[in-house]
Amino acid sequence: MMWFDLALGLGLIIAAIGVFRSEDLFRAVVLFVTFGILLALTWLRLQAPDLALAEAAIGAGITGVLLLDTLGVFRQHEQDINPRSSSQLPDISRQWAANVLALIACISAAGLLAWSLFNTLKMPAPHHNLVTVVEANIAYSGVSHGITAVLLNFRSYDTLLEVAVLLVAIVIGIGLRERVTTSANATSDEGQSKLSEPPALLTSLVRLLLPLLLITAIFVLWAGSTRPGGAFQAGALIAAAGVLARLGQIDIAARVTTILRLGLTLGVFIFLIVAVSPMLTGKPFLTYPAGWEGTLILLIEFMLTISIGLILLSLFIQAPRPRIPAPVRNAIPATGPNAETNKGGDQ
Amino acid sequence: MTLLNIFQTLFITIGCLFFLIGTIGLLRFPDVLTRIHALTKADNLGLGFIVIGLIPSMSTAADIAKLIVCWVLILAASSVSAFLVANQHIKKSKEFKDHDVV
Repeated sequence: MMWFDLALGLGLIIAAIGVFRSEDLFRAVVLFVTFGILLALTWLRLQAPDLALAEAAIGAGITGVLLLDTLGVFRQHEQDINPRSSSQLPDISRQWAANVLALIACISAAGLLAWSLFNTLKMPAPHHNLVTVVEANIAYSGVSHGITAVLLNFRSYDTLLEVAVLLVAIVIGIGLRERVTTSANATSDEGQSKLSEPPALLTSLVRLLLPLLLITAIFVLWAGSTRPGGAFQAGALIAAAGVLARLGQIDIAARVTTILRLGLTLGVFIFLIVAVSPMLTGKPFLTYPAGWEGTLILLIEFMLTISIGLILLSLFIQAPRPRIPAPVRNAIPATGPNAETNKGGDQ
Repeated sequence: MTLLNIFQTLFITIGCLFFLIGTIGLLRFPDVLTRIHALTKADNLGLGFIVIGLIPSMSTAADIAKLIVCWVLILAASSVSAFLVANQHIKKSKEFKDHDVV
């Protein structure tokens, strides 16, 4: 097993270097996904299956999809966006400066790491072992899986903030999207964004996989209270189902409706209600009433799963895409009075 | 070493060989279609042999079923994605040819 671990660690480093060194963006994205899968395997070898699940689903899966999607948008606009095609002669002195700066950054980062490692070694052993503390108190947490107990009871504040960060991300995403759609010519994108009919084989596979993915998501959510699993992993599975459906051109969450907005906020909303309501009786923020922990955790996790799934999916679907007729759009702000004549000509 | 162990080792080794051959094919074959051929061989046969080799190590019927479901799902996904890649490739090369003629 030692050789396997060694190969895994080396593979991780090589994949990470490959991501940064590759000239081709597509290759970099593929290597990034490979890196995510290797990292998931590493977590598994470190006996952290919860992290492995999250890394595989979110780190490799959803992030990979988002990156590939972005790359697709880049490719459509290769002429006007491609940063590397501006083939000026490399400015040698500038490159030297960049190299020196990178070297300084590397040395200081290495120094910082060495310093913190040195300090960690000097530190006295912690007074209490966190694992035993969690195990001693797990009976009060309402769930029997340690990780879930930490995430949704002992340190639920962190989870609340994490989900809030996701919500902020999608709010900004939708906001940007709305700005782009209102500024672009709505009728011209309708025709352009219409994709060709998906192959029947893909649609039938999607039909087969959708219910399976949803069942697996519910299983992972339910398993969270006793085994590795939980809201984030289940949410990622739901998002994956949504992305697949989108690829099979089944419209899910395609428009920002009130129902979608409700779904996006549901998790944080319910979490906050559960967190705040004990304060009415004078107890601190985020204490569950005794005897209700398990039920409330399951309720929060269920709502979080819906919201996380929708948020991750919406990041994919609602992400602001540059519109197809980019040269025309660029021309409008560049030439003030001519823009009027341009528009007139189009109509 | 029991007969069962020999059987398992044999099947898993054959599966790994298919993966190796598939990888070599992916690296060495000249174009998209032949590369897909190599890759799907690895997914279908290689994984199939490994799954068969692993089945005797499972303790419950549910675990065996899960392994087989994994294999069937990967089979479906890999064949459909191979089809999609091939389809896109043929479409692209046709477009290129049309463009060339015009």
